[in-house]
Amino acid sequence: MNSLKELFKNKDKNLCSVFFTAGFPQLNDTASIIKNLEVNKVDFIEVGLPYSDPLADGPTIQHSSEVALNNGINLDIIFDQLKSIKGDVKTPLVLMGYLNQIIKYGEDRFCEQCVACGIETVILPDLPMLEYENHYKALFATHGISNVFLITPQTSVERIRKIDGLTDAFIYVVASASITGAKGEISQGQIEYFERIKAMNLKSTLIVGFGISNKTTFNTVCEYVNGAIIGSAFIRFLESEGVEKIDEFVEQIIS
Amino acid sequence: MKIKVCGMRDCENITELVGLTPDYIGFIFYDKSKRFVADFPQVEIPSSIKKAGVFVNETIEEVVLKASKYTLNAIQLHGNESADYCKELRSKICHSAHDAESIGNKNEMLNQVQHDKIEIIKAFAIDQSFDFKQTNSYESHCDLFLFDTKGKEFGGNGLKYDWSVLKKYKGQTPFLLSGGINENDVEVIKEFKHNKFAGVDLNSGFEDAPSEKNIKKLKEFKDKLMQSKYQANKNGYYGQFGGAFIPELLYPNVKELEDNYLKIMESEEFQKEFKYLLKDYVGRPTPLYLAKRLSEKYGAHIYLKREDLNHTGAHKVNNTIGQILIAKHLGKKRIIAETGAGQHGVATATVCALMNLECVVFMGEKDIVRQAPNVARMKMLGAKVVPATSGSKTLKDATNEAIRDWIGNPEDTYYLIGSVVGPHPYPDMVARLQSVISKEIRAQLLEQTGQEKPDTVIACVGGGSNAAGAFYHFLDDEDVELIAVEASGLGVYSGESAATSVLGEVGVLHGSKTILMQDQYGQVIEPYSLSAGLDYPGIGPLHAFLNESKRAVFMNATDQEALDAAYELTKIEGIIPALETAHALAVLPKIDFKKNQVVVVNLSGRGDKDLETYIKNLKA
Repeated sequence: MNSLKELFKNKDKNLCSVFFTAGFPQLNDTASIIKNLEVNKVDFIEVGLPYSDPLADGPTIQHSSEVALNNGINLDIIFDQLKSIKGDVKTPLVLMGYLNQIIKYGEDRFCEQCVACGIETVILPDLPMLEYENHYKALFATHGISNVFLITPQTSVERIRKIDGLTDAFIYVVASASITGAKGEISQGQIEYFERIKAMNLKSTLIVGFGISNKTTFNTVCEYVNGAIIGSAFIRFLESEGVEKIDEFVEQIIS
Repeated sequence: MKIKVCGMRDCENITELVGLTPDYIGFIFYDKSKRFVADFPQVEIPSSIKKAGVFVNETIEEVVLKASKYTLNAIQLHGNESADYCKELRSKICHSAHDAESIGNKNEMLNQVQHDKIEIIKAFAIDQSFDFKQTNSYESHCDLFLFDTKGKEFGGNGLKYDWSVLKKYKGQTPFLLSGGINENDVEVIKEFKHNKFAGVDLNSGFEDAPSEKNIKKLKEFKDKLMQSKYQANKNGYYGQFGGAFIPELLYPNVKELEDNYLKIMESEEFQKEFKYLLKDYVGRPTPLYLAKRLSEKYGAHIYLKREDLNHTGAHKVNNTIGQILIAKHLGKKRIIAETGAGQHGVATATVCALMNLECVVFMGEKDIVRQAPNVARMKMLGAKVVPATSGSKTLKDATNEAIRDWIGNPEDTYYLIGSVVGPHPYPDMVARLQSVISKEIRAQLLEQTGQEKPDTVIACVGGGSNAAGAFYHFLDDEDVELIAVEASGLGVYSGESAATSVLGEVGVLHGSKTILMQDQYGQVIEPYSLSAGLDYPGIGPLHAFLNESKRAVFMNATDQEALDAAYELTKIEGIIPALETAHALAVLPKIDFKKNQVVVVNLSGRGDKDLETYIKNLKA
């Protein structure tokens, strides 16, 4: 069983995940950020693969990607960084990137590298279900890689059911119709949406992302779903406070 | 390709068939046929579908009588009728139209007048030993031949013959393929090549019982037959290129458009409004002008398709008019767009002013500085211009920002994309809207030269919308050479170029699989061209396919070559082209034209916006 499934089997409430951009703020921060997050009991970690044209991301993550790319980060370096900590880190890692990066790197080669780094889960926001089924499902399965799909308040019930059947990782519940980073509070409309999804009794673990920035928003959404991902807020923290103070950040979310 | 469905009899079946809009519906007036029509079915057939009567060795008087009585548009002779018979018949049917008039039967008269003449179709029974010289004497008395299988009976036997024998036919009269065609023949028919091949005659291969046609099978057959390999398939693919690589956040928006765009575009209401606005607001049709001095210089007949004379000064408005109507049909209140040089932004702001809709245009911070006059025009038109400050601060970043805005405003906002790029259905939709360019070229060339096909069509390509429009109605005419011209900036391999077909590799950009300029890790490379409308790192998926399949020849022109071409056109024809368009003109000196080669250059835009660049470089 993969490590993420193992985690979900043992814990189904208040799952805390943190997203960061590989190569940001400094080129070689990747390993220390992951280790710090593990020490502070983050349940699983999303490693962002910096991309020049991150359509689904807001200004904060795009900015961090630009900095990381200027630092000289690339997929080979990221895989090397992840390999260097493979034995030490037990926290499940999820890669989040854009499809073009994988096409250019070589789909097979990408999967092989994931396996070599112990990565079993990927999130590719611009890989829609149709293309996944036609072109990637079989390949990912060969390498034991699970694909995460996103759902939004506009996703139809029928489509959510289909996604629930297609994924064996988790469903990324986009908190609102927006790019990453926006908002700051959870509205009544969003709560109704979470309740609606919860009432569907899906088999997949539900993790909310987009707009989760502090303890209040984290706790609020965790009343309805299994956990939440914090991204932009962490990136902003890293930029202002640095890698050393990660414990403070995590503490203020899940203490 | 023409489709004739023959042997119809039942009213209900005919009504269903009319829905498929075949070119001809055939009725058999031969009493030994299983599909003999004794009583002509009383059913409404629109005038766009021709009614053909099939006769076998009938007297001319009887044929003329039936043609007049049933207002036939075509007479098919399926027996041993001689050329002289056809000649006499022709003179009589012309005469009978007059008779109808003199009798005073107004309905019949109107029907006759609507069609300039009744076509005569002569069928020949073909086998391996058929001597095609037999057809010669019929040429001047028939409009169409029908090559059927030679069998025991007259009037069709439902059997096939070896179509390769038709290579021996060297006549001038177009022909229909006939004889036992069924749904399994689509691919063979699509591959069948003969310069007089006009279409297919369908009958028993699509029947459940004599005369009773299986409409579903016919529809599938027609759809497959008409599906050009250069048209997007149902998932938006041209070969391996296209598709819709969009985050789930955009799915509802794109799906809504995908489900509705064809329905809207094919509706009478849309067509009427679109045509009206293109004519009275945009000023279409744009002229097709034979550039005499340019032709003399390059030793070819060079025609310029004057898209520069459109309202707002470029082809872009064809697309924005179409999409704003679609947005209105979808009930959208707010329009967003991306722009590079500002041409599409201006065209969008213009139609939003026209339709009283809110307009937000995203434009790279750098482009805002480079294209100040267009920014001012957009603002004057009431649009809000939002600078894209991320990444390279140019067109691709403006596109990213527009997509993000759309993600955040899925319900009331319509994203009006300016080129044949983006997720399906945009490339197909924009190509269809721009296809008016090549539609007009065909009609205008026919009028001016007697031929509707040029030898060569040349257009510049950034994303590729003007090229898609100029190529569209020639894509299946493989004898028409298509030349796409990209901007190679300071030189293809200088590192400052936008020649995607040379430098690009397969990947995903702005929601579609195409070729794009990228580094070894798939990061998008910022292209360069002096022309702000051509510095896009990808090309539309249709063009990626035209390039890969070698249907189009991709050439390129540097900044300097484009400038020189612009100065030349200005001097010898008195037309200042847009800098983008100048790239298309810049390949003229690079081509070795045959004598009398007919070349159409799509003059996509006018050069007012580039005056500053032109003046600066002229001095230097």
